[in-house]
Amino acid sequence: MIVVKKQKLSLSEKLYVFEVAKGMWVTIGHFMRNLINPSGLPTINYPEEKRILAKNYRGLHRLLKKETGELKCTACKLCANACPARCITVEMALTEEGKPKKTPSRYDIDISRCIFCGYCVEACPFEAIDMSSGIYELANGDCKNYLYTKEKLSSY
Amino acid sequence: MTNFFTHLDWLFLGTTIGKAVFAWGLTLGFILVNIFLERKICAFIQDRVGPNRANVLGIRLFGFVLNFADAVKLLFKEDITPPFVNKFYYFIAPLIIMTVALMGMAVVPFADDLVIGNIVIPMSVLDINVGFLFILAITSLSVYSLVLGGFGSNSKYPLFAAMRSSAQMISYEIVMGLSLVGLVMVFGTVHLREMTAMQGGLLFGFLPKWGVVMQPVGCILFCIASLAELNRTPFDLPEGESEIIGFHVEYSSMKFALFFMAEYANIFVAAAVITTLFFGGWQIPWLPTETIKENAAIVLQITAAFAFSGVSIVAFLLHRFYSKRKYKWKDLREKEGMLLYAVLACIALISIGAIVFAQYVPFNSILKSSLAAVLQIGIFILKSFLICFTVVWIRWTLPRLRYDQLMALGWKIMLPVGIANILVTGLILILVPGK
Repeated sequence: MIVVKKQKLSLSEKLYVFEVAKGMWVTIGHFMRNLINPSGLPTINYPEEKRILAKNYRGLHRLLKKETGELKCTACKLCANACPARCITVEMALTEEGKPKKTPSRYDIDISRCIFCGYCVEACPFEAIDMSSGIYELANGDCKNYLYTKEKLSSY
Repeated sequence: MTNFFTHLDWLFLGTTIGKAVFAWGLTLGFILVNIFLERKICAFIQDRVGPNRANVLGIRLFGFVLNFADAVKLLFKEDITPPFVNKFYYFIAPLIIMTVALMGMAVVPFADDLVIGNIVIPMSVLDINVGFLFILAITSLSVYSLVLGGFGSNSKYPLFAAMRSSAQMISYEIVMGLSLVGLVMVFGTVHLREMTAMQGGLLFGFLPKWGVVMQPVGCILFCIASLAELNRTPFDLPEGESEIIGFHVEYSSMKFALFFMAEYANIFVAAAVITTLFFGGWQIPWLPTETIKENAAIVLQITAAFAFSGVSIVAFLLHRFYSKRKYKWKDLREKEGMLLYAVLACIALISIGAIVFAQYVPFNSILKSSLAAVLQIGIFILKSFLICFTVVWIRWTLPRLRYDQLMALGWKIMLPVGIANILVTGLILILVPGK
């Protein structure tokens, strides 16, 4: 059985007036401090000011390129298999003879389904995809704009 | 008909209308000020920024402009009248509370009698001898608004809230009346003008004879009871904006806004009444009206000096605020600082001008009495403002009382203390002669 012990109050606490005065002192302290120095507030004024992101912040994906300018991606589809939200669609490009070309003809990420878990980055054996772009303002009025294609993902 | 017009006291009519407009303007203006104070004080106490986005051509006035955005929003919202309400009661409830809130200021004097030649103008809208009894009577009418609002809504929860709040308001009205009995015993009058005039005297030669000095217990009781009457935290059970459902759930749009505005108007009226009864009303401590009139030049210079130093402090704070900002807005808001600096510079120039003016221009009697009136109105508004500030400050400090605690406080603590206060005051008045 749980027994709640009632806290014994001292006389000044019972009178309530002094405790109220103490509380008022704390709040007026905060008020005066912020009135005199409003720039000391911890608030980030968002559209004008932006948060400094952590090094490993997971933002929008980016397809990396080799020095030659081709994508590092070999279209092995490990990222698509690792993705728990199933938002990555990869198709391998074919040569004219119909042999695989080890480069994607299509690499789409449906950002509206992405949960930004970073498993695709971990799964990639060639470090062809990462999430270090630092882009997080992804809201859009049109659903079609949430489909990020190969060209879009490698453009920044 | 001619008889009526020839016998009409045009001076009385004109001054009364003027004073009524002033008192109403003050009350309605303080609605905006109180809402602004509520938002900004709350924000700063909780280490937030508060409203700072709404602007008209880049002018934000630290969030004051948000009030106008609010007004526009409330005016253009759909005005829903639920099908199940009793239309008459439903419509009349917000009207009652707003009317009552605006009537409260009628008897409060906001300056000493204005003497121009041999004309004496009492500076309260109604100079009637029932004084604060009028205020008590009027404020107790606001219970009708809560009950009709809750009952007329014809819905369970507003009815519960109305029951709760009417019980609260009726209990605390008793304490409110009792706490003022001591004051009447000390001052021997209920006429607010005479009461305020008496508070200009000195106790033991140095303390201003304010109600709070003469009746400290009565003052505390009255302030607590007023908070309960205003439905403000820690007694905001009737409204309980987010936690318990208030009596105005079924209201929307402008009808809700009337309840909301009446609350803030009532804060100002209560502040004005507390100022008048306990904090000397328009009395400037150690500076009676005669002294102001005799040394008009020096008083004006000192006031101007105060204004100048106040402006400098505000300008310093503004400069700090603008120079420490780490980001740019890139729109008209950048120019707001210049406007504020210009206004401050104007006030500074006017105050310097007043100092020079007082040095070289002789004062005639009209100028002297109007100076006294302006100063007294200013100090009255300042005192009321500080009390409004305290009411808001209390709201963001103290948690709400439980219903049984509320009733226990009202009936078991405040009522006996109020009666004891009357007894002790009576004993002192009998035992200490010549007081």
